[in-house]
Amino acid sequence: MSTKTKYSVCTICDIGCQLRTEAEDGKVKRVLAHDNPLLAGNICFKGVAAPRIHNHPDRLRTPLKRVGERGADQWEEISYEQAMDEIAERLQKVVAQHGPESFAVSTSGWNTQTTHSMDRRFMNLLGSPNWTSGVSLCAGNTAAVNKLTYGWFPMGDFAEANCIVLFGHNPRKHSWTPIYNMIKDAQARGAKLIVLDPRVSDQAEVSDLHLRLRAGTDAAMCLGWLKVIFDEELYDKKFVRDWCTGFDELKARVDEYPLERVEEITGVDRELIAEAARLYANADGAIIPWTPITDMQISSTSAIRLHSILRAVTGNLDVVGGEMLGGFSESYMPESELGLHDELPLEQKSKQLGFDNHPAYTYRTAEMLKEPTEKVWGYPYADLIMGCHMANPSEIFRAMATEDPYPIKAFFVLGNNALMSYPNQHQILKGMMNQELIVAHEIFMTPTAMLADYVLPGDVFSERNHVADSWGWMTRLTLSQKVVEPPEGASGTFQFWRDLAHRFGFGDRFPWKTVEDVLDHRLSRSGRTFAEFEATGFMEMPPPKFRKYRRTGFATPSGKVELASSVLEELGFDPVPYYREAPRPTEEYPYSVFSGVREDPFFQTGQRNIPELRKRCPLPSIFIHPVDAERESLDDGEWVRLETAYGDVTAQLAVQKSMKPGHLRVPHGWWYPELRGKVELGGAFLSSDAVLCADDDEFLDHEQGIPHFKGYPGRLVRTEKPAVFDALQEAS
Amino acid sequence: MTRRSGLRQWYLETRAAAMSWVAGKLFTHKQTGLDGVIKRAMLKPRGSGTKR
Repeated sequence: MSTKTKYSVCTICDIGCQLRTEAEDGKVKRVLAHDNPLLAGNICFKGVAAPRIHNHPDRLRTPLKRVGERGADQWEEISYEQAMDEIAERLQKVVAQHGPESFAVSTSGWNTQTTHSMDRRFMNLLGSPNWTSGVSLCAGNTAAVNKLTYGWFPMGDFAEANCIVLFGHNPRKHSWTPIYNMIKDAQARGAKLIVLDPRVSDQAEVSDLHLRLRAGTDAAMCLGWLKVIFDEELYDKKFVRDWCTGFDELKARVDEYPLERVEEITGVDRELIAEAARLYANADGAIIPWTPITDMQISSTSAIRLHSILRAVTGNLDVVGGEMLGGFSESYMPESELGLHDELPLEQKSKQLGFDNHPAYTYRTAEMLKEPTEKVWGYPYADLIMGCHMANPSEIFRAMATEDPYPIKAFFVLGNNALMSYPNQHQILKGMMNQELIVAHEIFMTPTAMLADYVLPGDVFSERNHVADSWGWMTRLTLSQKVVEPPEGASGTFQFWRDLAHRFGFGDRFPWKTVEDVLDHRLSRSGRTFAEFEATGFMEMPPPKFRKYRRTGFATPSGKVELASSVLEELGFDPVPYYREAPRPTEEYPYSVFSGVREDPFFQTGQRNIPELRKRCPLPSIFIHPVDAERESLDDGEWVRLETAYGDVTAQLAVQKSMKPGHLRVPHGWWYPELRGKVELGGAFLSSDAVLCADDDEFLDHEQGIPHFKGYPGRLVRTEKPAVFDALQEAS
Repeated sequence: MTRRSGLRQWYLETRAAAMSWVAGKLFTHKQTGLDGVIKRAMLKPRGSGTKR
């Protein structure tokens, strides 16, 4: 018996915990905590379940070609070479007929990990700008919007911060575990915690101040904080004077939001708002970490910008205990460079869906930031967390369905259950049914993959080598080692794009044969190979540099922190952040629905087929406050249908005091792998929150075009337990 | 934050860079040499994820 233990970067969620993986006789046996004491606590039950995922009997192991109607889930097995030949031929046909922009890709770098931007490279050489990802709603869009204000996306210095502000974010022991651990450590040394969340979340329970704001009102709350900070002169006047532009315009906007008004909008007592603002502004080092909540609101661009502005005016930017502006790694070529964004002609960039209407994270904005980005960070395209040059997903799916403004006819999904990952699931289905070619690259059959023409098996983190750089966000490099071989028919996403590129005649631009060759290329910047990196350590952490702007300025057109954004102004938007009210509950739809919520055992739409995880959460629940449940004459555990004007979700009711009255909370991404073959698309339309929210302009943030997932009108209806759930129990 | 003196800012930055350098030297290598000794001393056996 041979046993091997190697270092891993887990990809079961988006956090990338450093772990160890042990294999016996070529099979992953278990996942262990890291042997570095500082990292050992960063492990959750999803990571521990990795062997069950990697060795799962239902893992895709052979390329599949559709033989029945689209979505009928009928396949024949074919070889990888045949699949790639046919995919290349059919894609060439689509491109010849409809143009390269008719090819769109939706992917998740969290799941695929080692694409090395080869997808962007291929698309840019081909001429298609229509790449998108779940990061358009989550983290990637935050990175892009942060760049508007100071040219990079900062990372909070948890180790030294004395105040941490969580806008709805709720890191827990088994979700965002490293963040949870860092918050706990900070609190243990005396740091204060402010939580803004409609419900009493885990973090709210241990916070120093909890502001139970109405869902979707983050921007108004931030304007209220700034009102206090400006009125009481709690801001860093020297930094504002020397390094900020647009203060007067911002102050005029802030003055429109006296605390009486903010109290009325947010539902939070004005004294508590003022107390929180003072606690944040007076702290000797304070951070507002990234949050998936502010990412998905109707005023998201303004709210994210207001986070940025709070960081800047309180003097917390690029200082110890504040928010660090990392820059590119000096020793590892960033994906931004590998993607060859400068080779996509401007004419094609301008065809990117979203470019005209919702440009904040598209090429249109990236082009405007090229010069300052190169001046400050050394390369013109900073594609941070893959999210800074994306197409707008709603516009992609609309074009797929309606062929307006032009047809999208080929759609590839890699590590991404796209059908259920964006708003307006019905339109996504319609769009997918209108495709000439769909390719899915996945480790399990998903509802999206069931709609494909070809399904290619992917690999998992224990089966590949990698050096992770947090998708360009940080300069820290972490080692992930291959410990077992992938299934014979599986490929990594690097291999997929490389092999496709060679079939398109781009071989000279894809000279690498293996993922290790690409790692060698990326590490050559520091004169090393992957083998040399792997032989020495598991992590590289360059010492931080602070207040770098004193030498370079900020990577914005003015070289300063733009409190009033010159980029937004040039794009025709309000340069100063504002609050926009989302559609309010009505008599017909009396509740404010809060969707996109993550449950500990799962990441997005995954892992419902892993018994160890599923038993922790066998079925989805819709959460409600006892007062509302009583008014509706509903009891805990009853079956209900949550309805909006756009769709409905069926689940059991969970009555919880922690909920805010008037709000309903829906978990994200539910489908039922065990119903495959029994119910259409594995029950993708039974309980998926993506059917509830529309992507009409009324519900979209203006600048980014992202949906309002945090507080839209809905109602509850008692229902009988659907018969399909009996079948589900039998299957279980 | 706004009340940090220039000297204190310099001290904090120097300390953070030094701590990061030390951590980078001591805790980013494999189970060999001083790194291994320190890790074995600090990492409690129950820190492992799954049990056999």
